[in-house]
Amino acid sequence: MEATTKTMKVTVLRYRPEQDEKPWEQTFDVPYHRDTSVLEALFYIKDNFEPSLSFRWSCRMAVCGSCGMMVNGVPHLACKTFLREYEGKSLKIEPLANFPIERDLVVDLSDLIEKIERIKPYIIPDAKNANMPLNKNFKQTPMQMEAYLQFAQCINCGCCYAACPQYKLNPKFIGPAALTLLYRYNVDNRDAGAKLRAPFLNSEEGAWSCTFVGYCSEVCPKQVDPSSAIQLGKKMSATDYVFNMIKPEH
Amino acid sequence: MSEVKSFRKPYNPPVKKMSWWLENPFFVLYMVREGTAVFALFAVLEILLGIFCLALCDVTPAVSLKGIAPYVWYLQSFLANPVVIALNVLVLLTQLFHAVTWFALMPKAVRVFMNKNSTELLPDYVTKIALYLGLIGATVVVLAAAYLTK
Repeated sequence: MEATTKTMKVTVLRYRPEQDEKPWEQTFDVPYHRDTSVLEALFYIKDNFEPSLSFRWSCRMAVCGSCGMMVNGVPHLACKTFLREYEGKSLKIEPLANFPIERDLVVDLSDLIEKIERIKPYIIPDAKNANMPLNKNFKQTPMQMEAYLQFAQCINCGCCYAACPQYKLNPKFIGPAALTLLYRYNVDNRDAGAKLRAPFLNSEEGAWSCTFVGYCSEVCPKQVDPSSAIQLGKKMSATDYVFNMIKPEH
Repeated sequence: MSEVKSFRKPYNPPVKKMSWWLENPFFVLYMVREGTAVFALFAVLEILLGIFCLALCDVTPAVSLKGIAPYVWYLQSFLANPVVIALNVLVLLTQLFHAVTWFALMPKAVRVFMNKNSTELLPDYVTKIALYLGLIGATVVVLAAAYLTK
């Protein structure tokens, strides 16, 4: 540990629904070391200045996806972002953009959760394998696993939704994380649910609402690359469209 | 039902419908990339105008300077106009910018394994090289066709 402790000005957006009409900023001087994360800076503020400051956290190691927030306007996991990266600057911490603010840095993620639920994010086996134990016919080769593994790393932190201008402008857009999960299950060779997910992928608020800004992939703390999954989803959707023209389902 | 009084009052930050992209340099770059479409539109209208001028030419019974006057106007008055030349230079620059930024994104839409037993994906640079070779190839074909039919 370094002998001298430096301090940084940390501005936090506060919102207390029972007394505030709208959010306001509060600035604190936070001492930090090389290994101080933004999450630890918030702990410091809560312990020493403002016990009422609310924020979500759990694992402190970029696994749970609870502490997504805006750091100087960019979506980050607070536990994975360090004050040393902002050396000589000040910090502005705001709740995740594009979601309603419940209190201080806590946002209402129910829209994200509903969209993830909507696209059926689980393996739907074909008729032959229905109700079979998962260890029966579900063995995969390394390549079959590689096909979806990257897209299965999502921790539902919501950073991609906070980064997405299309979601900002049109909250009906199913959005990066959910469309990525949709693609992840569609390309899993154990899954046969692509037909059930097609209406969501093909719809106006599905993959085609994405204009390939690509910022979701830029901010994703798990390198999931949602914009890649969505473009691949568009290909899937276009193929589906052509096949349906040739051979309609009903 | 819970007896506890709820203080929930979610705050929805206002959305800047027109100026959202000014907040982040990444979005500005995106808007510039999309904005190059305006110059592509100019190039399309320019070619359409040329075709219209060609259609207005009267070559019956024989080709005469009077008959092809509309196309001569197109070549000598319209295309040679300094403003149009400047605009065409802008078209070239913006479309090259679009190509470079678009090709940089394209590998995201390609996910191919190296071979059928590999877990290794085709590297991004292969896709990019293929795209640039395609662009160069198409340019060479168009220029060669223009030269040969001169």
